[in-house]
Amino acid sequence: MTQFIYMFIFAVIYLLSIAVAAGFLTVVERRIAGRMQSRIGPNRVGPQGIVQWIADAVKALQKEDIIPTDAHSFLFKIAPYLVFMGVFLTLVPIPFGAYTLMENLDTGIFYVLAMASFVVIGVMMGGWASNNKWSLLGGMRSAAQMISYEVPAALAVFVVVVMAGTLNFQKIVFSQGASPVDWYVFRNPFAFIAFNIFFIAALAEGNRVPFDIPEAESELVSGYNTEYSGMRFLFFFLAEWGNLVVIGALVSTLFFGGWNFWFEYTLEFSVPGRYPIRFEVLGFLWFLFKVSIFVFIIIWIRWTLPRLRIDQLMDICWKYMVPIGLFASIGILLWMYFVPEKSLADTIMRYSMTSFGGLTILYFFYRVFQNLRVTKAKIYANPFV
Amino acid sequence: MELTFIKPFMFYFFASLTTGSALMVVIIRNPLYSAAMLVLTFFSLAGIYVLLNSEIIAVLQVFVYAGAIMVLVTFVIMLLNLRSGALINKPTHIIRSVVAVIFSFLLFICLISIFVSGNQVENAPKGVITAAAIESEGSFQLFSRALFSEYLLPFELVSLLLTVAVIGVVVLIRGISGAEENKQAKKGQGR
Repeated sequence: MTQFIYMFIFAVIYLLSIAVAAGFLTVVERRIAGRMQSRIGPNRVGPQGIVQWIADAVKALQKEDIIPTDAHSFLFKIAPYLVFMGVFLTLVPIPFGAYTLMENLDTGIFYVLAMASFVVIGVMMGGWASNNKWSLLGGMRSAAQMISYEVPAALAVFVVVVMAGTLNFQKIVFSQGASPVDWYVFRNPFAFIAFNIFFIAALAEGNRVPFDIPEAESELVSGYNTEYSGMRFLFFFLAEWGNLVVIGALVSTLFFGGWNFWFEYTLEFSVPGRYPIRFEVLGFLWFLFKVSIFVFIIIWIRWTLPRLRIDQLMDICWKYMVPIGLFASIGILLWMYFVPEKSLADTIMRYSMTSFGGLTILYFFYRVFQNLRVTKAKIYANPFV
Repeated sequence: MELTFIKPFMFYFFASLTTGSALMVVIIRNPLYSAAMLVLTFFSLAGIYVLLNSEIIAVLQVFVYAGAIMVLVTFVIMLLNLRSGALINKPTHIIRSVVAVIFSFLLFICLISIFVSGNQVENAPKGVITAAAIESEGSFQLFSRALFSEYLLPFELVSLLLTVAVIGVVVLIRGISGAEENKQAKKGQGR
């Protein structure tokens, strides 16, 4: 009985933290968007607008819950919860630290890929049940896009699975290391390709710009969530921003070493009726740092790139990403066969890939500052407005 | 484990959900609602698989049936735009219903005989994979080893079948679009 109660408590904690993270991310995204478009963004509620999301949630709760007369009310009502459930369930096997995970599932990544089907079904249901042409089009587009991009994502995941020899997230993290040399992304060129494919496919599966044609505002009003209002609308949004956390966590677990940190600092809480709960602080914070970097990159992409057309979207998936993914997955098999781990070639490749990655980042900053110098732009770096 | 006391409840919950939603699939008149009910059936079946310590089958169930096939089914229903009751209002032939009744009765007898012979099933020879083996090696490893060694030939045959299906789709699509192109070309000549 006690274990059941603890399970319940932890599930509630997870649910609350993903909801809070998603809410907080909406504010962060709006602030970043504001700065990118030379405006301020929300800064009124709380210091620097940091609790704007609570105000938004209260506002949405007070709104009337409108269900169109011709909508299929049951499907219409449950669709947002299905979508949110799909996003939330993917968090179950992802380790946030050495001891911080819900369930050490043996089917790890496979389970995450399977749970995406909740999102597809929910979005399609919402789109169809609204009885609205825009919603229907949005739902159909979204389903087509998600199914298509599952293929390259699975191929990219296959590369990691081959390297780790397991589907279990925790074992994948253990087989990487703290320093960038040990990360999968810098192990060999194929893993680097796989990382790029996975990141792009994850963006597409999360309906993020430049792949946001299911809710293309200029074509479909708001896509599959056109008819939704109040709290149900908010649930779609929670799912979308929760998905940012999921993408960041997946990418950093699979390719960037997860919670591996050089040092360890473990807190222990003794609880009645159960062995003590351990919480590894440094790894957790390091993981959150990695996740937030990827979340920032996703937001950055959103406010930089224009939207793709649907035929371009399908072309990118089937004509480029799937063949490249197949190439990477065959390449990784050959690489694992011919280059054993910790051999000379492996070590050379690791260090050269890592330095290549580091140099790319340095070159990026060099170009940014070069640009600033040439254009003589006034740097306005103060984030507090 | 402490959770053993809750397992029977979970089983009856999922079992009743499975049978109930499967019944609803047949009863409900709106095709899309019955598709949604079918999704529920698949998910609750996955729950039963989890209770049987077969994580991998559960995930495959969700991945293949609820994920891929159901989306396909829903797509077809939406594209054909089947209104509620569109299929049911068609009059059925008397022979068809007689055959349906006979076959469902046979199926019912089969199921009943399985339930009655439950004792024999318990005494039947068991496979080599025990709960302890799953615990130590992981269900996925055991599953894939069996799939790629013992059952390699069926696996390859199934993949051949899928390849044939994919090629067939490409040929069909090519044929349709090719015919359209020909029509357009003829129109152009006529002008």
